[in-house]
Amino acid sequence: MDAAVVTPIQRPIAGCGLLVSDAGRYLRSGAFLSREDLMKRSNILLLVVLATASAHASSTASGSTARSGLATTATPIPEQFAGNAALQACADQLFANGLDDATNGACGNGSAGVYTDRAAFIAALAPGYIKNGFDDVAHGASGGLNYAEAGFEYLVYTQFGASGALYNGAGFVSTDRVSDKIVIYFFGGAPVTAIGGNVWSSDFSLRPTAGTITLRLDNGTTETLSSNGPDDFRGFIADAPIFSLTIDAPDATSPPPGASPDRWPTLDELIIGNGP
Amino acid sequence: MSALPYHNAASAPHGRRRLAANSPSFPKVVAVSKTFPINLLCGLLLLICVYAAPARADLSATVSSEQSSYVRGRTNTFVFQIGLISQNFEGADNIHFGFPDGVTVSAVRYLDGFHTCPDALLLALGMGAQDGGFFNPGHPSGCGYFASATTGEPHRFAVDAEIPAGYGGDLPILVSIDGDGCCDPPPHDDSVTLNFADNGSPARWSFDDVAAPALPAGWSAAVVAAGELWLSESDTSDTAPNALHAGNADSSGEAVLTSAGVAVDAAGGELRFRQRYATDSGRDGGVLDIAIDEGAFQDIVAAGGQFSSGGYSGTLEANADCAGADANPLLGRAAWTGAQDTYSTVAVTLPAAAAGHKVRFRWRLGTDCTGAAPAPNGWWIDSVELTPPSPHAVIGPAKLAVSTASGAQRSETIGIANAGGGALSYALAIGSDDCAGAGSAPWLHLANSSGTLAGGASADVAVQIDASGLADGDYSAQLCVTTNDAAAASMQIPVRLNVASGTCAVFDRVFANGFDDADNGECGTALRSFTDRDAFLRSVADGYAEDAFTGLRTGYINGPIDFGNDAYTYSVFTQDGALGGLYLFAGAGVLSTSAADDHVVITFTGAPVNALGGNFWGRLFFSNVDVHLNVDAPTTIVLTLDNGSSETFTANGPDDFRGFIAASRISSLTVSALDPTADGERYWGVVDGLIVGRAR
Repeated sequence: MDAAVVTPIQRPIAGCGLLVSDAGRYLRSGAFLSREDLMKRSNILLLVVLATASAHASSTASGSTARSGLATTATPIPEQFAGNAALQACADQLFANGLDDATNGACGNGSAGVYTDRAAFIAALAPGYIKNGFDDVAHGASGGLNYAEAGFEYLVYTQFGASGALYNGAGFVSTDRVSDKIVIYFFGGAPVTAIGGNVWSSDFSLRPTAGTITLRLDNGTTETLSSNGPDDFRGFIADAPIFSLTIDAPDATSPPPGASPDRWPTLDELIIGNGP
Repeated sequence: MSALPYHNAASAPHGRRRLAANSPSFPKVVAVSKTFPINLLCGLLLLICVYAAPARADLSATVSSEQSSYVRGRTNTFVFQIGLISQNFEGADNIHFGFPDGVTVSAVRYLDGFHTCPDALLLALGMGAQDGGFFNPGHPSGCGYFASATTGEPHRFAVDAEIPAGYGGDLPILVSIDGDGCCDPPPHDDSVTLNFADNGSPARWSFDDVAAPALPAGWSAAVVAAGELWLSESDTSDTAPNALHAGNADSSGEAVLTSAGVAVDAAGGELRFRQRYATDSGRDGGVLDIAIDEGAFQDIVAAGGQFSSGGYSGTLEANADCAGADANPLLGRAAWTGAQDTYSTVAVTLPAAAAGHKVRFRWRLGTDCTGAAPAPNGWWIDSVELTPPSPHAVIGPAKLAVSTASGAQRSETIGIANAGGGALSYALAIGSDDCAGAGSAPWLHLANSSGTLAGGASADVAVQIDASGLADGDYSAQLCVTTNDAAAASMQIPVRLNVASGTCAVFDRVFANGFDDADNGECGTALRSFTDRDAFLRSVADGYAEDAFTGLRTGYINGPIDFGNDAYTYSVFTQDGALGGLYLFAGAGVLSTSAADDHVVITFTGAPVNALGGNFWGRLFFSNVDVHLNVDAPTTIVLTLDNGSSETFTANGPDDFRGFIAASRISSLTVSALDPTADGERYWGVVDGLIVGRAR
């Protein structure tokens, strides 16, 4: 290796698994990829992963000498994620045109009522809804959290193409990597048309910190709030089944001098059910 | 209410220093699964097996380790060689390592091996927990990351585990392999347990890491008749917060406290503990028993032990009012009885028969049917230690740098402690540069420069520096230490003196907060540098912050992150103008930068700090699941304090420690790894096991 060429070295940005085969050139150039670049590429990546996830490659890793915290080629999704046709359909439409397709019904019809008050949300639900306070979740890194209760089945994990898994506090859920999002996936079980929970932004040490939270249903419904802490509630009631809810905490755009811009999405007191 | 997750893993940060468990002599410990023989046979007779063994287990493993024993009170690194065997090439999704109660995983590294299914996002989970390793979130994925072969595909892992000072007995490590489930026949999982021997390293129980009234792992308490149970409590400890205590009952009975089993060094051992007691004099009291190799307990003296300090104080006498079943169960035995209202040390050389064997200790407080000492009464013990009988010298600092003005005087100290048993004799002298002969430094004087220390004792040697008549400039001398500890028979401590006009005025003005020595009439400042973590800790006041950086969030960190305890807080990031921020590898348990040329900058934000130490070295990162992960190689590390003091050294790996104790406040530390190695590879400077506090 030519030392004169490699200066400076920067580890490849997370969330961009397929790009890592290019990491050698990237590292040697010292160039940066912006977060926006990565998201665009991640969307492309998602399609590729969805198309290929069922193929259990026996090929070996290439580009394995990259200085990276990532798997060396494609960013994976767990098998049970990729095998869900409905979810794939939604994801495909969502990312193929940048918008949800409201016409085929597979991913909802694009409308949902948004609630900011927990009591009002619960009052609007049909009987049989469930609550999850994540009391069994311990502090630290974890894989996906699968739940099955009262006919509802769901997974709490990070988004397709994520660079990491979950990192939880005692009794609440967050992500490991700052660039990742929390996603609640519904792969089976009883249909879900209502979902709500407490969402806020946390810092590296899982402490609540001021920030912005963006929630997005697979039907395209998006809600943005300024995070004040663990009591911030948002609920959605849709008129068609919900397949996923994504919770993101973008970086702070103007943090105080000397403070970190990093924000992690954080979730607790989840409610799942159906509208009236 | 919460629903029950059926897949979850977690961790909690904690840790201490790291040390290789034993010198490599591969392979020392080898184990195979119950399915190994048939698979080995299949490997040798492949064709026959393929066609003739439909009932065989498909995935199995052989596991061996380069270590055979462990060291207490340290981060032990265990290197495992795992062979994955499958006739149908079923891979493994998860490979993880389970430890007994009290032992936690602090880091995992995949060192070498052939892997398939590269689209697997492998997670490092369980850091800070009892069971940790690499996990595929899609398990059973149908295509495991870790490849197998019919004859065993080799994989190599390093696992760092925190083993408490009080852990005793064998250390079983359960290596679990979870197959990807791709191919029948089952089973798809396998597990192997390796046992690592207690190497007889010093064992210590401070009882401070348990939540009162709990006892440490492996310890037990029992009562006979009216005895009161031994419990941990914080009311009357020798070292805060906890001691163990049993009350003085006023009825006949016994309180029995039994230690965890612990191996005695082949050369023998010395047991020390701190105690105080208040019992009905001559009627109620306590004794110490020993059991060797799980045999019957007997009095420590009757078994051949010998008190070197703090032996029994009397004999438990008969009480006419308490005959038969009402008598003290320990009647007639030599015991500690009466009142001793302050803590003192008991030291006893173990019986020769205990050498090289596993022992347990038993503290028995016996009472008769009447009378008790005024409350608070009973027996308290704290800081129990079992060490080899030979002395073990802990000496620091390794280097002393002093700045002062001409004509001024300063007093510094060299700390010497006996962390082993027996008697440690020591002597300090001013020597030549190589300590081969006598040296001369008229400005340097030693007081109390020789002595003898019993096990557990320590002393400070005063180093007087007198700059009277010295012109501005640099001066140096060599302190030469000799001891009767064979492992530390001689040691050199370089002393550097800088004499500069105006030094006192500058430091008085800048450090008027009490860190400067204006209060004691001395002039100037000093920096003591340590290379031994134990010696450094002996010079740091209680209450320091210690962070192992285990089980943190991972990936890119784009702003300062905070650590510390209630008193000593600090933030960590890169230097102003850095190319990037921090990058934390999953499972690595260290702090490092995103860009190789950047520096880790630690800024102290809480109580004033003048004692600072940690492990610093260079690491070549690839992927945390790649075969070249975490290669540690000799790297030039530069540590720079905010006052401009710096330490440059070649670090070889995670055991490289540096500590500083300054006379003035330390505001920041910058950690840098210098230029690429000759082969052009870049090594990132990494930080672990940081200690932040004040000088003792």
